[in-house]
Amino acid sequence: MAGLKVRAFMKHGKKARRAAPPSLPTSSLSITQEQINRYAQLSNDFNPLHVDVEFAGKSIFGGTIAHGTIPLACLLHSLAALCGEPWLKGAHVSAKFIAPARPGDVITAQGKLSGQTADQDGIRAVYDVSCQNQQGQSIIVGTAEIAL
Amino acid sequence: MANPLGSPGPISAVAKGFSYEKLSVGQTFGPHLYPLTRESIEQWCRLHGQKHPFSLDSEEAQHRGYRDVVAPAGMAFIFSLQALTHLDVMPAGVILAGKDLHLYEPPCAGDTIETKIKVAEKYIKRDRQYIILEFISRINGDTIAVVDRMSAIWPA
Repeated sequence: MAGLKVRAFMKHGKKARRAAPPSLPTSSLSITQEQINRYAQLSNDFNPLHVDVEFAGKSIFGGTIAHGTIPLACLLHSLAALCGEPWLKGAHVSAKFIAPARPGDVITAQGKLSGQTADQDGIRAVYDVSCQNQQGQSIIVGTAEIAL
Repeated sequence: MANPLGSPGPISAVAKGFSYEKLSVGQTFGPHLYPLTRESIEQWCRLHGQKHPFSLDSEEAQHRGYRDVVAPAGMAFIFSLQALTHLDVMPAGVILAGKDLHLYEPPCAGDTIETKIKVAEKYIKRDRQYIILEFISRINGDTIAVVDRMSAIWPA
């Protein structure tokens, strides 16, 4: 960004970045019913919209849909890839669910830098983030603020 | 086709005693305790195709300064969902509308995640009943790992 001065600091034993990258690494995830079922077992969320084909078929969705946190986790993975750590300490992610992800979808998470600030601890970067399906339809939109 | 997981199938929200009107802002639930294990972290990583060594290799994680393998950020949702479903806060058929997540200290295998839920807001929008729940998950009942605010649409 023009006029922005960023100082590099030592952080966690490695040199901090001088500037946030303009975009996040993209992450992709294929959604299957089997994956949804296993996620239900791990999360204990057996909402019939996710796991009951007959119930979901009669719903407004016309079929089962993935837990919204499955594509959102794909987005967090993009952020983690940027940070180099699996847990995003200090991060703030705000997301709206626009459309459901369905079995057979391939979800891609991406983000574009919209701002950054620097302090003695390093850089805080803000990205406009989204998840889209293979047809380019937005599933999730939001923002993510992370410490680099 | 029957539910492949063999769960009882859809249960009327009213029959289970759930009522949007009965939930009040400020009402709290829990805590729910979730033991975070290497197995659950590995299972999560396999499910999402993630292979970060700090989540899968104890030696690497400890070399990095962690107590054991670290939960990936996406597991924050597992803590919330486990609490939500075990504490019986809402009926089946709820639709997720939004998430607002603040991540703090990293939880590791061997930790017990203690989650409390609070009804943060309720409102009607376009004839739909919305509810915002706030989940605060702590590591071993102490330091905060994540504050997760979920907005959801109550089933019609």
